[in-house]
Amino acid sequence: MTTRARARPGSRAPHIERPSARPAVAARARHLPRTAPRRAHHAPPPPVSSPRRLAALLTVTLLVFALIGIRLVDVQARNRGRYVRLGLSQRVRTVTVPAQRGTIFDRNGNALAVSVDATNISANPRVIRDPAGYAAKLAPLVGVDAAILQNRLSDHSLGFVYVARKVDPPVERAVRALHLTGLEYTPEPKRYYPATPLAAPILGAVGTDNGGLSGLEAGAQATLAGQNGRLSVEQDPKGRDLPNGTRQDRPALKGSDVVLTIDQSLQYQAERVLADEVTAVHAKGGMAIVTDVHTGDVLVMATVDGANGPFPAHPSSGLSPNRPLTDVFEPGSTAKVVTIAAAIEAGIVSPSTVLSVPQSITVDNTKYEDVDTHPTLMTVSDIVRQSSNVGTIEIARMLGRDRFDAAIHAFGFGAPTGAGYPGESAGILLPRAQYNATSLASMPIGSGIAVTAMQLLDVYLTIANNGVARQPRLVTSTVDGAGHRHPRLTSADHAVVSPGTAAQLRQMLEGVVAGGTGTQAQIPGYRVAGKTGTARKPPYLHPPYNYVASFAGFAPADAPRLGAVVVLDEPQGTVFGGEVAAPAFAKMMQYALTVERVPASSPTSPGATGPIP
Amino acid sequence: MSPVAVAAPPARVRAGSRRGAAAPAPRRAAPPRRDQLRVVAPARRARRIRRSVVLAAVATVVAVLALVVFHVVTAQAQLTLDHVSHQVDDAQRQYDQARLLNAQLASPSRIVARAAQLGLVPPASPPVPVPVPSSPTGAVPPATARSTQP
Repeated sequence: MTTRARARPGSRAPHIERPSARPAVAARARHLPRTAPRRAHHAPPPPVSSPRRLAALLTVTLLVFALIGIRLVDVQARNRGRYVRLGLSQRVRTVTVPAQRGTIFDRNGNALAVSVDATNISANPRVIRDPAGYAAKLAPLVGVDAAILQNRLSDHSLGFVYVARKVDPPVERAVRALHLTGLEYTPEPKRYYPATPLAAPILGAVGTDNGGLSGLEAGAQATLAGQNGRLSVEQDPKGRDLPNGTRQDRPALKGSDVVLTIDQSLQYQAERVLADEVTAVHAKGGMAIVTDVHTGDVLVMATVDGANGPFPAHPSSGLSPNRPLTDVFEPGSTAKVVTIAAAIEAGIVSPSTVLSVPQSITVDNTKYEDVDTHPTLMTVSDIVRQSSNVGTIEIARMLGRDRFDAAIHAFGFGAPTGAGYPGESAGILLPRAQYNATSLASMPIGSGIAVTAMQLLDVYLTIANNGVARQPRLVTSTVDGAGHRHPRLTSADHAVVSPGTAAQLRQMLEGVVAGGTGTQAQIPGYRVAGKTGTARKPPYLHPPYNYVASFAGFAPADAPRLGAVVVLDEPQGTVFGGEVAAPAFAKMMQYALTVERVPASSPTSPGATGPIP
Repeated sequence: MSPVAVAAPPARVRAGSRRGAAAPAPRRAAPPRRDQLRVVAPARRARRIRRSVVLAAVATVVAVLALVVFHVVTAQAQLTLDHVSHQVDDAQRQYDQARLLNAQLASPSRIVARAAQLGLVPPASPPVPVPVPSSPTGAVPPATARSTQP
């Protein structure tokens, strides 16, 4: 601060301190006469509060405040959301809570697929100073190779690596007991199949992230998966939850349960019987279905893979296709019943109609012959009982192309059954317009068409059900998280043939088991109806030929309760359905009838195929 | 601490009175308006202020203490909630594990294996249910099942 001084007349000049840098000037002033005071020769220093400086200062200040204001608007208004997110990301930790998949039950409430919380063990390599020691301790417990584990734990560029995923509680406890620093334990649901490999192809499998990969796990993914939850917690820099902090908890919604029509006990028995039969006939594989005639509920759907090297025949795994619904084959003689049914329904023949049936017939240079020798005159019942190819072709010719084509469609060939399984095949049918000269010879005896085992069984179920087709079902209902049951709706029943026609067919099919090609399907105490089938697999050019042997039928024949089909792929040695498939059918059906408490047929029944033990 | 009168009316008023000597009598006769003036004890006022300050301070301290107590209670409740939540999770996991174990023990393969351990064998021919004539529905009670097994 500089002092401004003004001398008054007669007064002493005020003492003005001058800078010591100018001593000469001060000295001269002391020698001056004391006259009127005079003004200093030089101008005083410019005032600090000069308007220009003030204006500049004000401008700078305003500018600074303006910048601050602009930034404030930017932070608080313009990009508010972004900064809020940035702030939250620093202190709010959001965790996805995986939803537990629904359980798959059999029809009696036995769990076939269950989700249980397992534990993911992860590590932070940056805090692990002895990866080799860690790996040596952890490897035997978690079942991961020590070298792989050491590599993972040595990668200090990562702050997170998995040590093991979805380990069971005993393993988790063992690892925790090591008290290793830098390990973290997080829960994650794991899928278990308690009765594995029972019904594995039906159930399917899930991936590491619990998504369905195959089977019903994939087909009913939306139902089973549920909805993941989310947990947001405000934490301090050390990761501790802040009391009164933001805490948003959206609970995970468990997936709905799925209730199958499968009977666990029957399924197990059927798989065992089928595996034994596949082993006995050295087949490439086999499949079987057992269904309730009245409800259409599929009680058994078994798939067995044949022996492969040192591995014996065994039920297929969860990643295998559910062959009874996805794989097609030429049914052979088991499909003859469609031709016979259409002819009876059309009034062309009856079971007692006598036809002249030669041992062989040539159609457009293709020779069709019967395996067994038989008399030339045969009734329609005889044709069915002895599975005559020539007789069936003659009946198909009498029926005609249009009515035959209508019949195979009416019985459900060429369309999925709608059993409720993903990837179900529709089968392969030649369009009527593309029928060639031999079509009406090949197709009526089950060649030149391809069907699934379920489609084939559906024909027999229709006959057993008085000519009414009922949609088979594999899933009976779903149960949501609140415990509400939602039955699976099936399409309406529809009549395919009249009850009278169905009754005549049942009688003829019973004759097949009683004294025809299917005698090995007899069950003591029950009247059984069914049909054998043996079809050569393409290509048919030269031996050795491969065959598909099958048997489809139902029991008791007088009051059908259960229907079943057994298909064996490429049996070796004996290849006829009546010899390789029929015995397996009898074993499965006998067990199923007992479990279902189906009363034995009356001992006085003329068609009873065996004494009650 | 004696009461002090407020100073007399300002001189301007008195001068005005003199200048307005010719003014009508009623105005001069009007009594001076003293309604707005009152005697205030400075000590009382200070006491009131002091009391207000003390009250405010006490209220602040109480509020802060209440806040702290509330915070502590909330934190304890949060801890309890977390503890209960963990207990629920543990119970749920135990239930799931038990359910899984039950399903594994009830699986046919395990039952067959256990039966084989016990020396049980399948019957030579399975039991065949026979109808009960008196039953209108044809239902077959288990007791009517016949078997070749003793």
